[in-house]
Amino acid sequence: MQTVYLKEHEGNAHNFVGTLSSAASAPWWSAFGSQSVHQGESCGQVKPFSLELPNCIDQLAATKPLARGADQVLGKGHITQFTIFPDDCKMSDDAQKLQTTMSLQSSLTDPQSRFEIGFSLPTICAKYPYTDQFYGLFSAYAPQISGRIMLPLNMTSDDEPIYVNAKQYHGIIRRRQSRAKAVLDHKLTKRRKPYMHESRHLHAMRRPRGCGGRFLNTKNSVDGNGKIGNEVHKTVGEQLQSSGSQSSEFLQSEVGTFNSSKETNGSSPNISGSEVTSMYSRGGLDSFSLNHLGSAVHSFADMIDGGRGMIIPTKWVAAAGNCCNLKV
Amino acid sequence: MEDSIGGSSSNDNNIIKEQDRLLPIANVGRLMKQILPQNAKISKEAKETMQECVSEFISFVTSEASEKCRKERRKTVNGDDICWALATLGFDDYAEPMRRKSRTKIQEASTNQNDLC
Repeated sequence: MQTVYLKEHEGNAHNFVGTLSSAASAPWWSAFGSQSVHQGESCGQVKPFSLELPNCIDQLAATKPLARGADQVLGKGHITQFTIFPDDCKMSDDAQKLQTTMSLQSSLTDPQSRFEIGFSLPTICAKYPYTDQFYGLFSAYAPQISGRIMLPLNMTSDDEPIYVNAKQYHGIIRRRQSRAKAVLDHKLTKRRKPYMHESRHLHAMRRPRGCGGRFLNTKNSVDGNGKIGNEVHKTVGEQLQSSGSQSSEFLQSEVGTFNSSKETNGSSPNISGSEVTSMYSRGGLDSFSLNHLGSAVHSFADMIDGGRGMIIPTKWVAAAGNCCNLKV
Repeated sequence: MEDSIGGSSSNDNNIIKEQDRLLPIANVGRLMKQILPQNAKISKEAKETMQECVSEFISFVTSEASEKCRKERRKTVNGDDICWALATLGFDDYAEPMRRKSRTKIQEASTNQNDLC
């Protein structure tokens, strides 16, 4: 008996696919007309069996396959009678077995319908017989959208369906599976690292900074008043130019500074390379965050710091413990 | 430029995988800056978002090309496969300029080989 029921359901599923294709070819109002014909037939069939309430519910659940079967064979009536007869046998045997069979069928058809269509339509049909009409119309509308396929709802957190380019559908599904696999293997981390290397981060935190967050430059503290004026003028000129040249200017000045420090102290080239790298990354970020008013304040702060020439060298010597600058 | 201070730096797997997964953010910011006016500024969040988007796009196109190579039982993904993948995914406007650039590079390589001979 279960085999017969499974065959019947598979046939109905095939009929549904045929109905969908016919709906795609025909205009929507014609599909609506055919659906109204289905409902009329189902009403006619339900009336003779409305004696008992549980029988009525079972008949409502079983009417959907009957309606689809009637769609396939409109002219022949004896096949319809044949499908009614096995239902009576099952109802006379056990109601629980029937429910178990229906649940098994629904579980079997779910993955197939999930992969074929974006949403599990047979399950909704089994639960709400009146919603079938609405979903039929919705299916009639879906093929009208040119070149768009709806993504499966269970993979997205959004409530609304997302339509994508038909050419990209399989690629998107493949990428989703790859990302899910990466998450399962714990290879993907959502959180972003603020810095790459701990030691470089600690070194950058120890460096002295001026107003606006820039690293202090050795030339500013060493040079006299005349060159401080030139530096202020150069700073104003830099602000008018683009930030790209500004960062390159910083890089050049830093390279010169480290060359002089290398000659005096004989420090290793590793330190200069890493410090140039961290300086470049920090300078790039700070230059974007500065605005015009901040730069003006920075230039005024340079003049004030130029007036107090004794404080900066002391700070520089105190901060840099590993390499001391003898020029001060 | 991979030197570090105070001995070896701690490189756990997360950092390495993040570096492998995403493009360098400085290069992404530089490319974004090329198309903008001189006085324009780009926020850090914009760079990070664009970094995620371009990295995902590269993986998306490359997986399509890799699928084609798998079907044809080839192990090397070449430039023509990338152009084919762009056309297959609907990016026809990008596939043709990429094909022309790829052809130009091939011609340059041929010219260099002729000079060597």
